[in-house]
Amino acid sequence: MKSTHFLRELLEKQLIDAHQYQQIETHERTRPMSLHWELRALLYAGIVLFTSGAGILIYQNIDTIGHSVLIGALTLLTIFGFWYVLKHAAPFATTETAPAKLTDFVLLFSCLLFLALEGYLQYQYGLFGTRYGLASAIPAVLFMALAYRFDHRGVLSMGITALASWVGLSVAPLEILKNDFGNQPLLYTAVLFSAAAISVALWLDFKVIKQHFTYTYLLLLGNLFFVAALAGLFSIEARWWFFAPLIGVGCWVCVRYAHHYQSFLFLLMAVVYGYIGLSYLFFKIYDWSSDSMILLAYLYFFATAGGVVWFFLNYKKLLGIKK
Amino acid sequence: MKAYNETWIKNAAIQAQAENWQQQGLLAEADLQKIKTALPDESYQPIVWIKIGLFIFTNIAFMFGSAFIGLGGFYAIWGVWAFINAAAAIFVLELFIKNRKLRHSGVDNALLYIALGAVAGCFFSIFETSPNAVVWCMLPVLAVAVYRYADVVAALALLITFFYVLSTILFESTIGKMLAPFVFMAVSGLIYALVRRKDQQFKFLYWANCCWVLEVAALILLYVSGNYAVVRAGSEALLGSQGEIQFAPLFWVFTFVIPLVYVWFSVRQKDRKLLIIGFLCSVSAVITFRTYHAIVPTEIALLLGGLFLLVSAVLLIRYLQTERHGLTDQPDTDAPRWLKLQSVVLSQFTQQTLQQAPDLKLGGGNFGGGGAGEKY
Repeated sequence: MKSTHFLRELLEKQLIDAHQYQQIETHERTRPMSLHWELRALLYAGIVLFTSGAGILIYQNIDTIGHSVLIGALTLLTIFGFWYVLKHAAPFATTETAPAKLTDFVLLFSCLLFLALEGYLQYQYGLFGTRYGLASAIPAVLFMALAYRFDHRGVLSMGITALASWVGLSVAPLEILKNDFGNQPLLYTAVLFSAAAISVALWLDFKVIKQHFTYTYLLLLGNLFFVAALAGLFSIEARWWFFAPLIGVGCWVCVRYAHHYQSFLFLLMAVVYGYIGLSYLFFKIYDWSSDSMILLAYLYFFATAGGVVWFFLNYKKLLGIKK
Repeated sequence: MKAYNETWIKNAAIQAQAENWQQQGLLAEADLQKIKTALPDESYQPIVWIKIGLFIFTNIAFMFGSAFIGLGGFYAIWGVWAFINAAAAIFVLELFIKNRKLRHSGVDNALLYIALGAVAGCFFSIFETSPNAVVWCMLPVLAVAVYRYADVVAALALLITFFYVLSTILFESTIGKMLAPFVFMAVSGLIYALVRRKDQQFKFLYWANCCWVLEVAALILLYVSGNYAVVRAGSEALLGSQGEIQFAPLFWVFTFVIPLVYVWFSVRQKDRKLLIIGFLCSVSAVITFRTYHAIVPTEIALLLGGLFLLVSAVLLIRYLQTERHGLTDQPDTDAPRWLKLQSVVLSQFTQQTLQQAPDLKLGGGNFGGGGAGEKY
């Protein structure tokens, strides 16, 4: 075993004493294998498989007795889930409670089933008439409230997605580019919606209410914001003075957040989106008539990408981050 | 000749282990600090997001830098041009490792892959008519790269190249084609056994990451080579056979028994990756079976499969509250990274479910297999 080698090395260098050696050696030899996180992953997989199966099944064999029984059973299961969570969950707190509790999984299960059932009711009975928006607004409000009450980041992300869907936007990472940003009103909606929601999230963060939720808001809405703002910069040329500073502010917020919470995904986002925006502006003011310009373009990318590499190698020093 | 400082790698491994012991209350904080000062790791290894950024921008910088110089007319003989690129990448790579103390930091990964790609291009310009010769030539190059840089992607490429070479030899004769599944299984089993033994040894710590990747890849290859669906598809493509294959019962046994063997060994050896691979192989065994003998439609299979996973997870969590058979539900590490990814997966899922209902209304009842179910 590798750990035995390590222990012997530590003992030889007198970094641990013989007693510690014995203690750790026994622990390593007899310790059981922990399946804690594997079992939680299994729970997640089970929930997602079950609810997607149910989500397809409810649209089939409509108008049979078996179908009514199925809908009834799923409804009861959903209600029971919400009741169980309400009864067993820890009281509300503005901070993060212990992660991966059993109630977390029951809550997620109920929310996913609720979503499938609600979609079905709209489809079959036109519950909200032709106002499809309402079909998103209800889960949005419900999921957001549940996420804050029961401290659940997964349900929060479902709520954010439903909220965005209500105003006609897709925030899911693989769907962002499917938003039709050629449609100007939608583009402005995307920019304003994500900017407003992120502002609210940052204000809540400032008020020390569920600070660990800010990550989820920034992750889901930050990408939407940058993609929409860049699309605006590229397509609505006359308004570059609006979009360019906006992207700059977005980058600044991301860098600040990355710095404060040591969450460097947002530093990466700021650099990548900022780089795309700046390069676009550079080539906009650039005279393409001369042949030697291609040389300059190569040189530009070589020098700037090299600069970014240098920045990443020294970001801790440059941003004043201690270890 | 190894490129990275071996002592630092060893120290980093000891530090990580000591941190784990400290978290479990086996070492005092002061002891941990003492260990960290006595056994330092001075190399630069940023966290994963910075690594990704470094990787992307190193690639951009090198590509455009090389293109800029190439405009001077060096493109003329592209074999030579590829060679110059490879040499330049290696030169910069060595410089960065030496001066900036980088270790698998994104920059050195990118430069190594550029160099390997350029070397392959070089060989290609020599053997333009036979791509197989290029693959043969890359085998020793990759072996040297793995030895010197201990890079996981290079290790994986080495394994794939090796199996490609093996398959070109086997597929030359009909008997070879028929024996291919057995040969692949035996070879991947051998590779696993060999790498696993090396992985246990202290002096192979330099290649610990490579060992891990090779073990995982060998286990998956071993299973895939014996999987009924893969063998059937392979024999249809190579031997032109139709329908049932020879030794079908034997391959069905492989399909179902190998995952169980994996799980059984994982519990005995307390090997987490073996357990996870065993589980995933079991899932693919069930899917393989369903491909040829679908008893229930997809949505019911999803529902029942999900229910089975849910119930077994809950029962296992209950059962392992106290330690049994060397297994426990008590966590021994902090929450893993995938837990943060749940928001992304659930967002995707919600989006699809929300779009599904209006789509169905407009599309007029054609929803077989569509919607969220396909994705998962």
